[in-house]
Amino acid sequence: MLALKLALKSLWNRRFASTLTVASIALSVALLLGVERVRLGARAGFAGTISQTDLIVGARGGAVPLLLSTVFHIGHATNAVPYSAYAAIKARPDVAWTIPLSLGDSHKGFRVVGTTEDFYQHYHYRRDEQPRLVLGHIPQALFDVVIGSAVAAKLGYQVGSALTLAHGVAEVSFQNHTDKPFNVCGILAPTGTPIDRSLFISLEGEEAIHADWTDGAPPQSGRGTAAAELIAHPPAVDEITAFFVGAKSRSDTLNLQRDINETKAVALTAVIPGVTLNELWDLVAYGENSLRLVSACVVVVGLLGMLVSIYHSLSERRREMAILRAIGAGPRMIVTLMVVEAGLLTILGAACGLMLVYVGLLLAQPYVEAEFGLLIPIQAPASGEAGYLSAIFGLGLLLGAIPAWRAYRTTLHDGLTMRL
Amino acid sequence: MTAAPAVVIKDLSFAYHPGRDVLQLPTMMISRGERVFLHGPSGSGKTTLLGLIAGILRPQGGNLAVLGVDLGTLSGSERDCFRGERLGYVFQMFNLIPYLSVVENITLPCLLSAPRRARLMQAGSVASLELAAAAIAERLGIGGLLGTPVTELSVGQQQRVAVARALLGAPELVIADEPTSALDSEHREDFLRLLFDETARSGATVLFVSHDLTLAPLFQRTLSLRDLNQVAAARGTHA
Repeated sequence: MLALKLALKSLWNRRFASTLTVASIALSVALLLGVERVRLGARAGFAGTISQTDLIVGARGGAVPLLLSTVFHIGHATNAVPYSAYAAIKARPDVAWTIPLSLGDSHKGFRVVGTTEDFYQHYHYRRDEQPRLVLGHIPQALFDVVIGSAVAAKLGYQVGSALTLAHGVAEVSFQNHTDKPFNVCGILAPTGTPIDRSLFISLEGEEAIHADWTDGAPPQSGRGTAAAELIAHPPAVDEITAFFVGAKSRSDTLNLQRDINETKAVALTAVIPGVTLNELWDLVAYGENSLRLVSACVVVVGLLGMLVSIYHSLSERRREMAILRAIGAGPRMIVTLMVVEAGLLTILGAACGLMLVYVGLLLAQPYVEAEFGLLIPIQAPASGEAGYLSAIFGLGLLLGAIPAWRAYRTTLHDGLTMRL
Repeated sequence: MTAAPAVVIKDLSFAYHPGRDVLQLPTMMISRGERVFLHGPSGSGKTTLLGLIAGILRPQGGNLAVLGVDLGTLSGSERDCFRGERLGYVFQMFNLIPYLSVVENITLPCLLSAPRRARLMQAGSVASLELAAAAIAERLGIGGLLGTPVTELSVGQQQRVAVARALLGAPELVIADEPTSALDSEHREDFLRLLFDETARSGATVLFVSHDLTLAPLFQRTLSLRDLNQVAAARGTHA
């Protein structure tokens, strides 16, 4: 107790240096915990993007690209699924519902998804949330489009706005479907998922803007079917990009997956979102780990700063040591004093760091959610963070032992000699 | 309380490096309650002798008994406890822990050493450590400074605080290492009078070390370390 009291007073006496030390530890701890929060938030956000969907089916290919392109709108699927194959699976008795998806177009960098009303009925995210319209209605006419909340906010569209879609998913496209303008018919509520950054049209609409295209190239100017004619005679949908499947029961999922994957007639791939998500985590674990490594290094640097600060203070405190020795303090007391000082600085730093994380979250949460669709929850420290904090505390004490050891040696050597 | 002498030295020797003794004291004795002036110019082994008597250094040869305790038989931490409980020490200057207040500085030895605190409380007349510190500070003329940061004290005030600290808890031996060298001559005598008054109250022995012989007449007895220490004496004749 006496050592604690002395250490507190001593730190207060050097409060400028102590504050700097605490600040550097706090910043490094905040970085480490912040990275961890973002990592877990991103994982939870990713995992919450698709719920209740049992299978994602697309043309034969990798599981991760299929998940990324259909759910997260990252990259794009190269091959299409014949509509007949989709219809066959949809008709199976063990299939409860399906959501067809037709991808490949964009509008000013936002992805366009061709789908049906099934999407509005069956798509779930974050367990049991569903996309909900705040304004308007789902596409009814051929050139109707529903826009996500971020699209509406960024581009300032309202119900009734007209827009043209671009072929391909690049930010800048050289092939615009200018001859077939779309009409905003509804706006979705924010979801915190890629839905916010997407535009939704009907499968027929998607088909219509590519009417008369051959081998991925548009028809020559003036040769295409006019928009009015397409509205009168909507084209038949003959292929889609992928589809989501809800099985009648969980136990059907594996059978269904095997059946789809083994169908010889059409080369399809069916993946279970959760399983593929885990593959994805394995994939990004390298990135996550290097990020953690860097922030762990920053913490070590912060603690080394404390070591330097305490070590530096020793030379001007030799007198203090001699006084303590003269009034009966043993070298063990001196060591305790030093280690307690290091412990106090570390605890204070870690506590401030934790506080900084919460303040940062409070301030940045709305921005991060709006800008990156990433909702980082503000919640009590998780057990993992407690682990980090105790590791930091242990390391702080360990580093505090270094100046303590030197103080011990100095104390034995100096004795009562008052060196100036 | 035993009647053993305050300090008994017989054939004491000490070397920081083997074979190069800095101290060889055939004999030296200080009785209880004595006020002894130890004349120790630099190079006479003064620092070493004080380190040994205070129990910081471990005697290597011969015998050293302080207050009846053979320091050669105690471990390092036992010597620390012994010092904390039964000795008082005043340095030349900068005696105080800068981040503690005056009263905190005075009470610190009694907080470090439980037996010392117990002895003070058993003496009976005080209700608390702080009150005891206030009483001794009052007698030393620094009663009004108890809450002052020590960095705001004059050198003379600092030395009085140091005396109050050294004496609180009635140590049996008070070692003062040139405590007056930073004071002017007028304050020097005041300081000594206060020191003597206080040690007389508790019956403590005073070992006062200085190179300044003008103060020697105020003491009962004067010892010359240069004469006592055979290493220094030998060096002196060779020089």
